[in-house]
Amino acid sequence: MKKYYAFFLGVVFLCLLSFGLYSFVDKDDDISQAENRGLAQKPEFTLAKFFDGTYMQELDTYYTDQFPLRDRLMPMNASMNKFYLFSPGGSSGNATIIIETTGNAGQGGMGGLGQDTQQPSPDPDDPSSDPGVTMQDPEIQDPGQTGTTTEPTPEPEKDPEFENPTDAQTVNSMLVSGDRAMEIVYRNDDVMALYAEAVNELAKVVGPGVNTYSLLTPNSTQFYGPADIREGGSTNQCTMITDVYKMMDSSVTTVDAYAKLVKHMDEYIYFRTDHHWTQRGAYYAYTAFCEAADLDPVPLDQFETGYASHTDTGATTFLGTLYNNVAGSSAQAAAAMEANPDQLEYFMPVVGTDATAYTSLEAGGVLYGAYNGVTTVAKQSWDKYLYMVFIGGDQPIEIIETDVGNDKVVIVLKESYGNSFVPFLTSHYSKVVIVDPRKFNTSSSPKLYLPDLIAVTGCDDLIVINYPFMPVNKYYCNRLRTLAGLTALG
Amino acid sequence: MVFSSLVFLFVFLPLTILFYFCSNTISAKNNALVIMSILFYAWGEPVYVLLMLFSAYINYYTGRMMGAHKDEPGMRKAWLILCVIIDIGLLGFFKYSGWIVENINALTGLAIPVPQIALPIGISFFTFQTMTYTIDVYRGEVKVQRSYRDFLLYVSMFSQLIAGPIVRYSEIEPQLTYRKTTLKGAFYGLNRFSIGLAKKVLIANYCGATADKILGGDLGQATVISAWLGVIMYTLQIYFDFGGYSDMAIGMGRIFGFKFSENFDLPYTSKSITEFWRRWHISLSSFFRDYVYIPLGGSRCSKARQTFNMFVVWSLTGLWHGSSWNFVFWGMYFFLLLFIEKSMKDILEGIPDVLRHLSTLFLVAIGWVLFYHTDMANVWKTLGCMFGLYGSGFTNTISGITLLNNLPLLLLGIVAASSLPRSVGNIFKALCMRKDSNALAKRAYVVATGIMDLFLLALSVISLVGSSYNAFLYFRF
Repeated sequence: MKKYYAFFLGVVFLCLLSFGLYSFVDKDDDISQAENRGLAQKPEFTLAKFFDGTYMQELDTYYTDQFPLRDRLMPMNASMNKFYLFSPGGSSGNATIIIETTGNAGQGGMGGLGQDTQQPSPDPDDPSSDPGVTMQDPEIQDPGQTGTTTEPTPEPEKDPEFENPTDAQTVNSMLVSGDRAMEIVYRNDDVMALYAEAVNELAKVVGPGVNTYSLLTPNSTQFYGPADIREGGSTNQCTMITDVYKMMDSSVTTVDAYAKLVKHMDEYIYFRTDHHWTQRGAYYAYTAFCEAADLDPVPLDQFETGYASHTDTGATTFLGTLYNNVAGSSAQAAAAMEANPDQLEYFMPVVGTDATAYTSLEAGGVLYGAYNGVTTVAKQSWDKYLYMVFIGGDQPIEIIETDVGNDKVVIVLKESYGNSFVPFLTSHYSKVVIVDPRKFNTSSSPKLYLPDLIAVTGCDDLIVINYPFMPVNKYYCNRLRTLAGLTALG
Repeated sequence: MVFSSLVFLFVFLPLTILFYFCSNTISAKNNALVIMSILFYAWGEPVYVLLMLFSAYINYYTGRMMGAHKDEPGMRKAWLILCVIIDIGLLGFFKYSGWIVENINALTGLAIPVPQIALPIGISFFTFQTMTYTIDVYRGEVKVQRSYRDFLLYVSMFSQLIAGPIVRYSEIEPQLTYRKTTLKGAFYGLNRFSIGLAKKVLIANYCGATADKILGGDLGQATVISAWLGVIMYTLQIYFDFGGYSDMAIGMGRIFGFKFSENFDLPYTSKSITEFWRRWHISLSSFFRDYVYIPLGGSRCSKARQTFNMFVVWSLTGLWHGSSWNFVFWGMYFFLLLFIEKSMKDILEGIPDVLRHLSTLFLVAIGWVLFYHTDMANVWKTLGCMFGLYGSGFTNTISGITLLNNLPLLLLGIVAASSLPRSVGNIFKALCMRKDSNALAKRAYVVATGIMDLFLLALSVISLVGSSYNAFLYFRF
């Protein structure tokens, strides 16, 4: 009997010890392909970090992130979740589950699927480039696209607001039903009032000579979600949007995108595996904007159109940000999405365009960090996350010059929902100026006051376009407030 | 460091086992355990490790002093009082000073700055452990420990340092200098450890995630269904978390030759609150019984005095769990329940067992609502949701799907908390391991147990690695 005891004790002990020792000599990975994020690297020892305990915490994270065979164990865990996230979909792969999403899918970001800007990536040998912050794929740079400068976007450092989990790391519920994932937005009247106040203030600082438009669009949940979520008091995005609009001054023209979108619900207006709308969805919102702004929308059939493809494989399908979350939680639900991935339909601008991105507006009205490797629909292909084809992703400032000779200028304040919307504006303006409010006025990012930018670019129309997580996101509202010169609220 | 971390499982534990069994003498073995235990504590508390060493030293020194003055009862008493004041003082300072100042400010309208003191991990456990030594030396129930190293081993032993059980010195004293690891004992230890880890990682962590999603979220969104699901999940989480930790402690103790008493005995099978507290966190309730309740006079005094004694014990029990009013109320809640149970003993015993069992579980679960929320407003909201007086109605799509998604886990938790697994294990063992069983049956038992252990460990590791899946946690703004 002793032999048997010794056998099992020996097996467990040797497994633990050998894995433990091996983990010290195996090579560390920089990134996790599956999660699209940088993995924690060996922390630097300092006495201060040792005594406040953060060194050990970092070691813990490092050890877990670099655990041997982590890549192989992950899928096993996702399979195990068939038990913990049960859905009687059986072997068909269809599942109805609720999971939590963390991070920027709810923040209007691009979801870390590759860089969310087209920028020359930092030198991989440069020790200052921190792979723990975001994935920096050296191959993402297309030599033919390299622009006039090489100054990379300053990587936001830790910001006190950023570190506050309630502001930045929101946890959202996501309903996955078959091959469609839908994020649920909960209303928050206090923050909605902040949003409306910020837009009102923006209208004030740009002055009565500028037409200010507010365009809030629901996400896919409002179209394809269960009735009690669509109509529920706290989850009805239509009433949320109407209520925000009601708090806006008469100087702000509100745009009813929902009314147009809902008529085309049967079309492919939202991705199923990604939190964005499709460019077709954005087109219908554009027609709503045209109605509000008294413009004639370009008919859909006049655009040169096609499906974006991956540069490396030629594939025209992709799995988006929401899939990324699902994949870690439920192999069953992920399989349904993998079986029916998304496609990205693009509509090329009907006018000539030339776009340049900038990192900041310096004192004296100088646009800094010019990078002209972006166009309105940059390319028909992209090597990772296909939504990147629109206007080069989330650039801090981007100016599109068109060959429309009317000398009209529009400024668009947007997160990534705006990226597929903006190309339609090129038909109506000589200049389209795009600003991503998230890139400014934090403790670690450049300062920007909207009137200063207008002094450089001019402005006839101002569009503030957002999807429904933004009017309930205090962090974003603060970014809008600071663009208007108001202080950020704690 | 927590037991359910990869660093502990794959680095700390195998190295400790290696050092321990490479040491020949008991003294060298004790050195190995003390050094590793101090490292273990310093991993989480690089500064407060000194506090732990100091606290242990004060109690050790007091023991020596009481030994030096063994014929002077006055001196012995003086040393005891001094030491208990220091022990309680340290616990009070590090655990309760912020809360006390907040309450003084609230009562008097003063604005005394609230001290921001981080709670040293495990201070409630090791303070009580050292006190059992000092008090028992005073009572003459244990001998004075002459070796600070051995005393420190008792206090700092990593298996029970940060989450119990509260091991009494009297129980461990002989084992400090004489103990033996047998293969059978170590195999049992491995089994307990694997089961404990699985309880923590494969049940408690998942139950906790669901409970937090519901109870820690906006309670206005909760429905009757989801509130109940959340409360039941928390009820399961707290048992498997704490019980799993105790199993791991007992299991690791056995690997190093220690025998610790059981800390949980299927608490959710109880048919009364009195029984529940005999089965739940046994080392704590027996500490309060032997070091507070009985010295106060216990039940051998007037009815009024006895009630007062119970009141004191349950206030302290509540407060021990955390420096917040909800814990005091939680203790008071059990004081009331036990008082009622005592007064109505005859009537209650006439009720059928099933009803008594269910009502006990119900009352315990309500207690966990008080335990979960440090903000009393959320306690009322949660209770309101459970009975349809608050929140978003009886059910909705999200609640329905959440319930369905959690159904297997819920059933697993309920079955695992019942007496079924233990009965099955006992029957299997009885069948295979009878004195007259043949060698094959005995081997089959060991092999089946060993395979189960490997299986549980593997699943736990997969889950621990999987829980670090974090799609784009680091994102750009």
